[in-house]
Amino acid sequence: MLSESNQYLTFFLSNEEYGVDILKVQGIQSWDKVTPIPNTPDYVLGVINLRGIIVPILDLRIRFNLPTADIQRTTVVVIVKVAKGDSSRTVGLVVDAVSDVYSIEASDVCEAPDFGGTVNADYVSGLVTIKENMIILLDVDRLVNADLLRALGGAAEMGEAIESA
Amino acid sequence: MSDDFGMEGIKQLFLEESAEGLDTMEAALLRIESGEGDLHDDINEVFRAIHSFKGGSATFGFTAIAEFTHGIETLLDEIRSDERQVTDDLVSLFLDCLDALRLMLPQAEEGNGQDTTYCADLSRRVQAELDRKPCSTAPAEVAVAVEAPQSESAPLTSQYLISIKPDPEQALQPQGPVRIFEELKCFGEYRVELDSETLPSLAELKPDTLVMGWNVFLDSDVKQTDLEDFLAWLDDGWLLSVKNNAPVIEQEPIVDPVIEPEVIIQQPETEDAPEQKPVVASNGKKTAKSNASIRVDTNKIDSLINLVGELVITQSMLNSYNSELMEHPALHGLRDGLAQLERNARELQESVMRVRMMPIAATFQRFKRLVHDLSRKLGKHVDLELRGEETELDKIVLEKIADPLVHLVRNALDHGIEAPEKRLEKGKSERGKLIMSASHESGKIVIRITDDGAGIPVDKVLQKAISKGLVSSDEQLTDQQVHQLIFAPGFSTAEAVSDVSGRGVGMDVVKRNIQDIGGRVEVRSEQDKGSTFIVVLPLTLAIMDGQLVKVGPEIYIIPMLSIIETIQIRSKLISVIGGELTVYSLRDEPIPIILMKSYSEGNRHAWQQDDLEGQLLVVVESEGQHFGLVVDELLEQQQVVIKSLEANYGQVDGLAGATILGDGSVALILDVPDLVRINKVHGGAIPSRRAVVAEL
Repeated sequence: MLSESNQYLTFFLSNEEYGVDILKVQGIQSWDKVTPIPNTPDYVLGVINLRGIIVPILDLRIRFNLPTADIQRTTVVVIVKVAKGDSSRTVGLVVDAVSDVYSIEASDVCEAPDFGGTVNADYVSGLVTIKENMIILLDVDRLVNADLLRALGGAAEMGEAIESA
Repeated sequence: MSDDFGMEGIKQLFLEESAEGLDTMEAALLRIESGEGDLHDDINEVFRAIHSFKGGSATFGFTAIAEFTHGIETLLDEIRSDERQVTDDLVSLFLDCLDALRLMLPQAEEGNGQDTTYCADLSRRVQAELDRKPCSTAPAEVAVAVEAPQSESAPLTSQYLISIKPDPEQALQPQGPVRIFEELKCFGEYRVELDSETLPSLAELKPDTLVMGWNVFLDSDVKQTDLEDFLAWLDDGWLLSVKNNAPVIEQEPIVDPVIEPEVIIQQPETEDAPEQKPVVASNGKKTAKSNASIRVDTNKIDSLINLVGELVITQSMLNSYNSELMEHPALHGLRDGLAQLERNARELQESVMRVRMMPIAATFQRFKRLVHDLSRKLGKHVDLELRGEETELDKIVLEKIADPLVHLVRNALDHGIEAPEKRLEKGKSERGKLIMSASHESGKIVIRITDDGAGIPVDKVLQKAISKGLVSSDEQLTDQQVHQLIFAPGFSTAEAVSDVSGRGVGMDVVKRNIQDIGGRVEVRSEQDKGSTFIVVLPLTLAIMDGQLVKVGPEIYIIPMLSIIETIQIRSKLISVIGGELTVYSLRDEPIPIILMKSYSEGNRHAWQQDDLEGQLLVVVESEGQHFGLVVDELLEQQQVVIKSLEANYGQVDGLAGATILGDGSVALILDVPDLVRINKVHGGAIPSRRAVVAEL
């Protein structure tokens, strides 16, 4: 799945360092006010205007059940473009701070064990240790799509459940 | 497409033109059938169209199509020369042939156009017509520079000298020179000479341009003006002159070469011919009919509209700075410039929006055919009247409205208008009337489909609804409410499923489709007098008139299309039914109210009846019923550019989309029918979904 060497953008969330494939990253935005959308899960903070298009913002802290933190000066939104069927969708991820860009050899990546915890192993493409720090590499395609499907599909299921009740 | 305008490009052009040609033919045929317009003109129009169609098909190697059209052309030719009478059957046959051609074209485009089985039957019918009255069918193949046999005894008239010099650029078009020669056949015998003077030397010769010219000597009894008119369909750029050499003199005129780009009248030296008049073929019918237009990919227009939308947003952002800062004398120039910019931006926006607007005529015209076919099939006589065809609406809206309209018209013909005997029994005229009208009404498009048929049978509809469990038998419904039942899913009163309508998927799908593009449909009906379906549509899908309202800290936009009025709440008029459903007594009409705060915050907002005293209630209409939305504050009304939430996120209950406000922030646009729907499901408030998604 991974090619010989990939570049990863890493960021911090509650003192853990996570990495995403840099080719997925569209840009980094400073934190700005979002417009909340009714009837969405907590981790969907709302939508913003990104140069004329409406982009949903996901809070990874809430998503990963990490303690919530106040917005700080370093808080940024990482804009990622993920596959959505044949097309793609653009989504913003709120993180505590961006860290670095690393070139990571595919051979250095170890497979993630099933944590059974807050971060489902399905969304982790591997673990890598750099300078004694462990970085969790995220598969944003799967993470975002599963989340949004859950947010939307879950809503629909719920609606049906109520309707049938 | 613009990059490779080679043979493939020309072929593409031919295919597009052919599709238009077929539409023209259909329109003309329908005029012929209805007896409107000039029969002769229409027949000629159909003939010309089918003729160029045939020529083009042959050019591009669509032999099956060319052969198929040949028979039709022959029939038309006979009609044109009064050898054959136009009958309704014949028109129907032609219409069927057009449909066949419509199907054959895409096949030909894909390169497997040799499937002749489809049209074999039609060809036989055409042949049968031809056989009924045998007549000379001239072979279609025409070689350039035909030496037509000299007339033995032409009923004496004039000899015309027609000199033709095709535009080198356009000679390869479907209506090439070959076509002229074929057209000329119907005027009489002629002789063609090649005007070789215009040939360049071999070194200058370009293989892909046509540099030849011809001189045609035509003996005919037609008037010169008729001949000129007839040749007028040639495009600009063709050098063409018609000249009358009064009495036929068997003498070879001496031909001058055409050198200059101007038309030169070729003067035979034997004649003075003072009344000679050159005709440049640019003022003919064709030019008059085609508005100068270009084809543009709709995606390009959409991105243009998006950009202009952004420009307008930036503009209003700049305007918000205007107030204090701009009072500074040093900035007067800037302020004036901004004002100018604003005007220009608005105008630009309007112009760009207009690019997408198309008259509804093309969509309406299709119904002539539909009504023609259906009424024949049903054995009913129906006159279709179209009004307001010039009304313009967004192309996307037009595309999406076509199917629902077809359904409404089918229903009107099938269920509405009665059979002729029945109509006579009721003392109505034998012929039913169907009126389709389109108009602009206060920023909306209103399409009405009115029939003078039986109307909606209230008793029958009610019985059916009860038997389907849509309403309980003890419910008291007004006629208006009963009429609404026809929009319920799975409802159909047709006793037997016909292939016209009555599958029971009709009206609810119609309603959904119309709602999907932000419109609504209403019905007015009176027993034995007829029904009117009223479709109200937004002008465009890209921009909408919206009322900005404040709910808590958020701004929402309610489409103006659904707002009826706004009132201040008097809390004693609120009643809570069963602790759940809250209704407001609006001039004695109980309307359910929706607390927008509950929706916005996704919870059941705790409130006391008295809390709402003095708050604002926006009364909206959805599906013929009124609802009240409780909001905190009314802000301005403005046009908003509709942005998709679905592109990056997904469809959200109660929302139609989002827009970007002047300050660059996002505001959500409410989908009133959907809001009402979820309100019905959840009874006044939408429970939080946050709890549901806790497991991860």
